[in-house]
Amino acid sequence: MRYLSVIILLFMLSGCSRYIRIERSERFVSRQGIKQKIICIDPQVRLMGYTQNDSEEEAELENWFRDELNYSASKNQVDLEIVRLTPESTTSYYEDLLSLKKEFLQANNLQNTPLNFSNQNGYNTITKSVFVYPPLIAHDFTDLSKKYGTPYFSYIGIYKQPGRILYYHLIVNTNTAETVYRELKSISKGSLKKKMISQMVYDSMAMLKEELK
Amino acid sequence: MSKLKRIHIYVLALTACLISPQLMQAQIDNNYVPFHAADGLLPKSLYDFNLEGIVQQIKGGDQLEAEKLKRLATDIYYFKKEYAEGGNFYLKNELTDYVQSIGDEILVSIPANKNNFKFYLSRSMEVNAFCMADGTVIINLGLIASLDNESQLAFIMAHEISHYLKQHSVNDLKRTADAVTYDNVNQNSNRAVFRRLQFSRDSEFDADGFAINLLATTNFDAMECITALEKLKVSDTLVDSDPQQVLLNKYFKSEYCDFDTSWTSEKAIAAIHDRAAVTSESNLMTQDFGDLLSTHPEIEKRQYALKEIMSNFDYSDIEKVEKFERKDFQYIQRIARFEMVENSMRESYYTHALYNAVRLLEYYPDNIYLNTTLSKSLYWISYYKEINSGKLVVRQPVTTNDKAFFRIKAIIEKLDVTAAKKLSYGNAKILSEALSSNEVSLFYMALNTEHYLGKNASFTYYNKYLKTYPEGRFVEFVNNRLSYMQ
Repeated sequence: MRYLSVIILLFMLSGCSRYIRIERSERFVSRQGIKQKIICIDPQVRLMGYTQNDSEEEAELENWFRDELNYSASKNQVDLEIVRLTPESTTSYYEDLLSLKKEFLQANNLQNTPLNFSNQNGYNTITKSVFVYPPLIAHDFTDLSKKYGTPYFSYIGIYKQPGRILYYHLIVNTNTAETVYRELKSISKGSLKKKMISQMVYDSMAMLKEELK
Repeated sequence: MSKLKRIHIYVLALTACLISPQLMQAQIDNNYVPFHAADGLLPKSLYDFNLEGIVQQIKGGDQLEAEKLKRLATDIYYFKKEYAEGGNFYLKNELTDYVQSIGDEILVSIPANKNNFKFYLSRSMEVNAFCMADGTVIINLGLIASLDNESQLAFIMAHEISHYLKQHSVNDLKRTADAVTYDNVNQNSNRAVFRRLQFSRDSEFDADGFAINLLATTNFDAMECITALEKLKVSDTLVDSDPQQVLLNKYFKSEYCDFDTSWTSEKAIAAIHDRAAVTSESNLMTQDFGDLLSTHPEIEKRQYALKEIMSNFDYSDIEKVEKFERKDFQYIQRIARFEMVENSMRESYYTHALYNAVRLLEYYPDNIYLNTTLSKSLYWISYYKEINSGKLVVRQPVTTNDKAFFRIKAIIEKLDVTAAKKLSYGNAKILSEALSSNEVSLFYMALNTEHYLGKNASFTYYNKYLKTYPEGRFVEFVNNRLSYMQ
């Protein structure tokens, strides 16, 4: 009976074998905050290296994920507009926004982000101290704000890899060609549970709400 | 309409036709505007595909079990969806028109199959093309840029068309399923993998042979198939498009950059090439297994096989279809290379962008787009070097065996941060002086000055930009930058 409390504690902790780890949560909005609408380009769920039925499961999860993003954004008063490829899509979506999405994913991948862990060899002390800028994107997109009425564009995605699940959220300001917000969470193991994604999405939007102030 | 008026219109139309190629040429000489479709709804062909439609399109699909057919159609559906959602297909432009025209000419002799094919042009820089079981043929931009003439492109497309006509996907699936059953019964399941690869290689030989049949009715030169195949492999033997390093010295050697010539020596280039070749192949593949582990036979084997087929092919009594009118291949190839420059920038493949731009500058030394792209690439290379990500930026897939590419790669790799910033600044300065009335060159001059010499030195250029281009495309950025500095 002397060890009952320890046993109970161990029993409780055994439920924490699956946990969400915040790998990186960075805000670069220091001066103005995000005051305008955010256009979220083609949020995705990708299941990598699994069974043949992945594609159908992905599509089903993606639909649910978009609804969840809309729900969490509205609950946190985040003005989020999701755009994706549909029969109503325009050539501008295809040529401007998909290029922008590719650009800021690529830029953040190359500019010392743990999104690609295999590239972390060069991430040393010097980099940490020198790397004072927000991650930059190409300047070719600076005039998009005139067309879309906002300079804020984002991408939110979930990647399930063997052994872990990654959730990331990037927002760029095309007027300054800077990444203004980036967040990466990882779940160390376990299957992709909708409840867990809901929590991450809600948490992400709640953090964003702080930026809107 | 009066007869005179009608003649007048014909004359005008004829004149327009005659002068349009020259106008196009002039456009490339001075500047280039990357393809960007006019505002409007996306064409249906880009998103309007469904599972049932794909099932019906699969030639010979009825020979497969229902579940296998559905699986194949689902794979095709999601592949196309992913490709389209990634923005990888080009919308209608003169390159897509050209590809469509070649496809149409090949299909004239088999009109019943004409509507089964859809041709797409992909932004990929890989020298490749492929066909899916539903008749979707995807041609990569990199392929067009690397070929010598339209007959070579026609052969590659005829080869892909043959895969569909001969039902290779369906047949390979069937044969693999039978083999797996046989191997499982005989408790040798590993063998199925090698059988599948063997079936795939057989299909490649078959498609090559059938492509010759298809081309026989057209005006394309079937003999070009040998060279076309050569272009598909990144050869181990390096070629030299700029042996005297004229272009390299012109664009990289100046008072702002004096790279060490030993960096670009034959020995140094060979070392970089070997390193790239080793990293692009797994250890297993570097062992001498021939094509045993490949879906495609060795190129050399395919070339010998084609020579055998053609030496026995009887071209007499084959009626040729009428030749289609289309643009000159050399023009199309150069446009493809311009697009390669643009796509390299989009992918942050700055070494490729520099290489392709320098190759085009050989023909169009005053082209504003190419010169400003040099400036942009050098700015980003120096930026990435500063944040210690330089290695990531130069670690890119190698798609050429041109020594000129490896020379540029060598210089980019060896330059330290300060030298890279100085080169970038120097290039922008020379360019802004040469193109004094160009918005992009002034903008990159301001950016490079801030990057190399600090904010005070850049004020003049940022303010000059605002004054000269009050409605310019970078105005928002410049305003933000100035307010941040103050």
